[in-house]
Amino acid sequence: MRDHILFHVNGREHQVRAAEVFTTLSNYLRYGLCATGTKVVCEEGDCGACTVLVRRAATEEYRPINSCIQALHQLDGMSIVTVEGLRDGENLSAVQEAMVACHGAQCGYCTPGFVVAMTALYEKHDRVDEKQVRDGLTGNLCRCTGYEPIIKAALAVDGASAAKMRDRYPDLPEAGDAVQTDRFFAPSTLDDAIAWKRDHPGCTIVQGGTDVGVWVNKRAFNAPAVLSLTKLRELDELREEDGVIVAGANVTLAAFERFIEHRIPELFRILNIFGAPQIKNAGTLIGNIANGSPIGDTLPYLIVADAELELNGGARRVVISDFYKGYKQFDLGSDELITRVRVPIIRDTLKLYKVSRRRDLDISAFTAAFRLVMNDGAIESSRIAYGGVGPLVLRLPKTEAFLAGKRPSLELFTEAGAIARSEVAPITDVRGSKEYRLQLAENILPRFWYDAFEVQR
Amino acid sequence: MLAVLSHVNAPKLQKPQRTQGGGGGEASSNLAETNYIPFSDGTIHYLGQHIAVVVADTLEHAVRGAALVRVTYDPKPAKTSLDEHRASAKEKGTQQSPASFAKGDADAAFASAPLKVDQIYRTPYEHHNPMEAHGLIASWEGDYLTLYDSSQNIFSVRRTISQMFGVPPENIHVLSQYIGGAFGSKGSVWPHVVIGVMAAREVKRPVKLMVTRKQLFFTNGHRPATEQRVALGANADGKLVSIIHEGFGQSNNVCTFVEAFTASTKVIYDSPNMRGVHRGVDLDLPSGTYMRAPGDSTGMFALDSAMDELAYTAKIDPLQLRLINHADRDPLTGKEWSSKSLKECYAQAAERFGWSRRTPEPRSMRDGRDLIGCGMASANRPSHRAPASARALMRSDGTVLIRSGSHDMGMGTLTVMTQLAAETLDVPIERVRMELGDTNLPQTPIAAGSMTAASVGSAVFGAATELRKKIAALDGVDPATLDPATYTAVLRRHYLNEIEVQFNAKPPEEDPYSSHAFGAHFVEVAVDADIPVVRVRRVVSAFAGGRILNAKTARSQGLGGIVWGIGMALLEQTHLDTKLGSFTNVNFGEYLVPVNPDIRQLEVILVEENDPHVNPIGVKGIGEVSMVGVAGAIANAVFHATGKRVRELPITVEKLL
Ligand SMILES: Cc1cc2nc3c(=O)[nH]c(=O)nc-3n(C[C@@H](O)[C@@H](O)[C@H](O)COP(=O)(O)OP(=O)(O)OC[C@H]3O[C@@H](n4cnc5c(N)ncnc54)[C@H](O)[C@@H]3O)c2cc1C
Ligand code: FES
Ligand code: FES
Repeated sequence: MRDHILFHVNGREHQVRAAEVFTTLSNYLRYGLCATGTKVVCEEGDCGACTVLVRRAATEEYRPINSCIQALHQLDGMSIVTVEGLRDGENLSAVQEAMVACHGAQCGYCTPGFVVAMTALYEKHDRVDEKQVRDGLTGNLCRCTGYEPIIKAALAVDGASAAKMRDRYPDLPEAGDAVQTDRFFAPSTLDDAIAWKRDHPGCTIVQGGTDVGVWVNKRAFNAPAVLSLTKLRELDELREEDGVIVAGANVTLAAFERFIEHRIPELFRILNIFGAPQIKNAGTLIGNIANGSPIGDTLPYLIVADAELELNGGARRVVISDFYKGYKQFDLGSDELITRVRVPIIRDTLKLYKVSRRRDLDISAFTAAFRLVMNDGAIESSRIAYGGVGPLVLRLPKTEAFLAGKRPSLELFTEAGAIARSEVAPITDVRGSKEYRLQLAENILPRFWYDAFEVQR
Repeated sequence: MLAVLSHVNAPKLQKPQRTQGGGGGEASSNLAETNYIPFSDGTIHYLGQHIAVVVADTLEHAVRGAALVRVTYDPKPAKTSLDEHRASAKEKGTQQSPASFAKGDADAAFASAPLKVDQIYRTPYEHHNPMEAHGLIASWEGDYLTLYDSSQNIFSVRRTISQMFGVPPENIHVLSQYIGGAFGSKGSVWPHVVIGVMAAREVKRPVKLMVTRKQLFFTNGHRPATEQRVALGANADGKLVSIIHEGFGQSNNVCTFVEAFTASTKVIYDSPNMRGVHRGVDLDLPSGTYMRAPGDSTGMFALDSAMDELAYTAKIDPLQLRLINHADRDPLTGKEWSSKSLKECYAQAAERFGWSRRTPEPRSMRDGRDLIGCGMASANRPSHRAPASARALMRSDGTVLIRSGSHDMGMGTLTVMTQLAAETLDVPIERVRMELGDTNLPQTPIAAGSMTAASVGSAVFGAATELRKKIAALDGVDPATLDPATYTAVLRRHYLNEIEVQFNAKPPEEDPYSSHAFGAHFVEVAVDADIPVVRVRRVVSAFAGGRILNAKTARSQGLGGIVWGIGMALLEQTHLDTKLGSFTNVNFGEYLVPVNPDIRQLEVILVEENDPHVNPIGVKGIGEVSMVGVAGAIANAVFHATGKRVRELPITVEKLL
């Protein structure tokens, strides 16, 4: 068993052990290595100023993540490239040159983060379009420039001449074995993982850390024991089997998003506006499920699709709607963890909604999923799930029953809207008022009718 | 841990004398919270106030130490709600913007006007949120202090610290060469600066102090919430006969700042009768301060919303209404404009935008499920200038060094000044270098109020001109005929390794002209009919800010300002829990600013002006005028799209239900 973690920064190997593995990557870079190009602005994943590139495996690309919410222990076995690693000796990189030429900076404080995120865009492609650029830079805030010159700079990069980080930093440390140091454990077998969780009350699984990392920074969260599943390579699994996608606990939101692009385009559309690339490259699908927020964006689909959770490698299976018992209360024993999720691919009429104050990079105020089974022009059965209107993502049984057997029309869905409104009890918070959520619960039904039936005509 | 300092054991500091209002060229002291010396007593004026500092060898230890400090409180009732305490509003003027103005009899004229609009408008608390939080490193050696401070007003920092700590200003060296954004929040000496300097003196070591993002919401200023009444009286043809603009904003009793929202009202539209007054309601809340386009951005939201309402009342096109009420002279003072191209701004932006294709009826334009609306507004920002100095030095190898205290928060001071010096001396820009951000260099004012280009530019221009004269004088020739290619030859002929001049630029005591940058915004929004989320599809803005020294940096300021306006209109708001007197959404996850997908098509038109009066270089400044009016234009577009008039920012979905 290794008693330290290993990772590369700009091609050099680093070993860290004991309590230091709980340091954030951004602090390690800035204070430990005096590599102050990486900026820290928000410390919670919201701004991208701390963006670095990481590569997890030889089969993977370098991808951007937010270093402020990554504890070092999450980086065992990875190769990291910081803004300091982009320059080619004395020369600026192609991306940096483009930023200079297009006047992509004013105060420059956001610039390192943008430059790193842009570099990631050109890792795989020599050419990118505006949509890719805008999506790729959604996670980076700039308070000065108004973004336009930055977008222009990203599009102006001479991609063919841009150095690829996978060529410059091709090596990864050998780190497939188990690690234990201080309160951190990354076992290499599922049995060890289960035993550690059982034996350490209050043990927290940390995967992408996009939820846990924020608690640590902002709420002084301090778990008595931390468990990582990343060495359980079988949980990297992501495949389709008989119309069902099987995703392991290590599958990131970004990997899942790519996988479903053509399989579940509607969910792909929602994942497109979920967080930002930095968040999706770190955060996992199962983390989103296990966090169980009533406004988690993957949940409405998973609920109307009857996704199934596999616990402890198959020792138990739970249908997702049974998994949630109350606000952040789960059907999950202290000796259990989620190993896989089985996500059916829906071919029925399907629409998903994510409503937030700011359309991009914002936690939802309200979410909804509609699934209709149609028969000869009438609604045979329906499943409707709403998020953000109660402590859990809710099914709407009355509305569903009302729709059954009827033919879709604007009047029908307007009436259904009024029923839906009566089935929910939202509260007011910073993301939206109670009244607004009630109104959305109602309005979204006629809107669904329009999107599902009217637009096609 | 090295020290815990609080009112219990902190050294006594002097109260700095306040001179000039903020940016004075003689570097007035500028403690943000005039009536509060950090750690001077145990009074807590507002939630979030610094009450103790822990100094340790590492950040972790300091954070741990801070968590161990036990505080006992003696609770007192607190006033936290603007609405509840409206009756206590009192006039609080600032030097640049006195609390009230009047011309004619505005109330009588309003009462008898055939057309009237009389409404209340509100703007919320907002925070600057530069990407870089405030921070400093303070290092004493005996009675000498070196202070690296993220500041847009280094000379004032020096003066203030000098007075408070009782050391001569010459002993204090303040450096601020790179600033990660400021927007006004780094223009005053906030308590953390005093505390950091104090801590370094006590522990006899260099001290680094960073303000956290959360603290930033309490201790470094905000745009105060306001409530404004605008009453417009007009004749049937739309000509204004009365403008009344009055109201109040949050203030507190440790700081003199009030949001001077009537400032633009004095200049933007012509009316024979007008009056305005802005008052402050002292609450037990953190201190407000100037935030990008203070006063004008909040005031113009109200005024231009009211103008739009008047346009509908009078059934006159909103642009036409503004042309009818165009002010050919400064309406309050009667002074001539040093230059004004507002009509050109309207015309060029309207043309590019396609304003004539707008159908006047609300809810008359659609695109699928989206309601489309177009709105417009005017922009204005006074052109200030303050005394500033610069030195220009030429070496016998032909290179030029420009030195001036000054600041560059990203507006491009370095670029523009280098360019100006190169042009004035007629030498290639590659030969010119500039140093700034250092109190050992010649003195300059605060970098705010869009006056850096005008103030520092006048000094750099003066220094470069004088340098050229001095070189010419060596040979006794006319500077105009001196060939720049011969500079080095002249120097060598006179056995000079280098030659240097200093120039102190001063604005005239009494200015016969009224100088303002003007602009116009045209905005198209789409409002989702079911979800009523507003998206800004298109903005076309034109600005006239005198001579444009550098089109790239000016355009960049323009874009940045428009995006601030979009944020102000749709997203930005700091929520206040009046029970606690606490701001609640104190992070970037909940204090929303625009992200790149929120910004679609922006067009900036720079209308060049030749202004011989405003200052020697003819520059008016563009960094703030670009933001003024955007929120009003968006609110007007939202009305056009939906038929709903939102008179309270930001325009959230709740207000459109
Ligand atoms: C800036 C930002 C933007 C965001 N935007 C969105 C958004 O738009 N929509 C949205 O829905 N979410 C959003 N999120 C939250 C989202 O990133 C997380 O919910 C993410 O999916 C969690 O995955 P993770 O791997 O990072 O989980 P972690 O933080 O590692 O863990 C989250 C929780 O799940 C538990 N857990 C993880 N894996 C397992 C397992 N295998 N078995 C049992 N328990 C487990 C952990 O113990 C912890 O309680 C955002 C977060 C940030 C910081
Ligand atoms: S510092 Fe903002 S995302 Fe990391
Ligand atoms: S350039 Fe200042 S935040 Fe982007």
